Amino acid sequence: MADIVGDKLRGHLQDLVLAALERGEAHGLEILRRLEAAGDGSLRLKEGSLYPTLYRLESAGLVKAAWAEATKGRRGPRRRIYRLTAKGATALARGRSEWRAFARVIGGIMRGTA
Amino acid sequence: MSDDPHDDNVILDAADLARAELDRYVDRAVARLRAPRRRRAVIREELSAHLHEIFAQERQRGAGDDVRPALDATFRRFGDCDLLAQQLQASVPALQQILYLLFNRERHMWRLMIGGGVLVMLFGTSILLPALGKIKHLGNVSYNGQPLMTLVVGVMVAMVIVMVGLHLLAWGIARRVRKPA
Repeated sequence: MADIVGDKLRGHLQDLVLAALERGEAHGLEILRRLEAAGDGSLRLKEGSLYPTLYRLESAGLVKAAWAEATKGRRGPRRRIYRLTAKGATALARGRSEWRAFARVIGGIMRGTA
Repeated sequence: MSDDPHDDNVILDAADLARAELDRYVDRAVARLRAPRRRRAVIREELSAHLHEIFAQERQRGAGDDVRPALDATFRRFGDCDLLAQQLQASVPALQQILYLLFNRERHMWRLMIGGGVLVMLFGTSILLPALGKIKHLGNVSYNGQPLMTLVVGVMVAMVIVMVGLHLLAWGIARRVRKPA
């Protein structure tokens, strides 16, 4: 299967991040791990581009962030832990429903059954 | 393991230089961000944490003491710095960008002072000139009965406003001139 990269992901990244956070709170690197695992290794995302998306979601109140407590044995800058808010869960449900409708319509056209 | 007692120092120095390079990447991504200082600090620390973790992963993955391949892999994974800076800027809410432009003391206060000074001066002048004109004609034209005292007070208030505007303007210009390059 061809890698899914850059522009193809951009429009969906917010929903993907919300879906990753549905499984529980996580920091940026963990969110990427979840996305990569769920995408069977086909998602190729520049890791830095996750953060503008997270900040946008945070500004919109769809996720909440808090600095992690210091972890034993880990030095350096702190991690920020993100969790889904109720508003984020609603947005995710809406995003899923829109995606299903989109996939049904576009899938029908691409299969030549429309 | 090497018997050379200096080996550890060499490895430490290379790792420190690599970390400094990671910090420079973060600085570049955040430096021009039009966002409040607190938000910039959060972004800086978070990006830094992520970059350092990728770097540690890449160092473990690679063999040998050369940190360059690990650094290259880190930057490749994280993405283009300038593009990231653009994306970060786009993620800052419009209101925060406007507040930053208005109140960012380090960079833009002089603009606010000059702009405010000009506006205050114009406002003061719009009171002062008509009042002066009326006083000038008081002596030789029959006037509509407005007491002289009101006009004099108006002129004095307008002069104070103009002086405040001038002061703001001069302060803004002085700030701009003193601003480091």
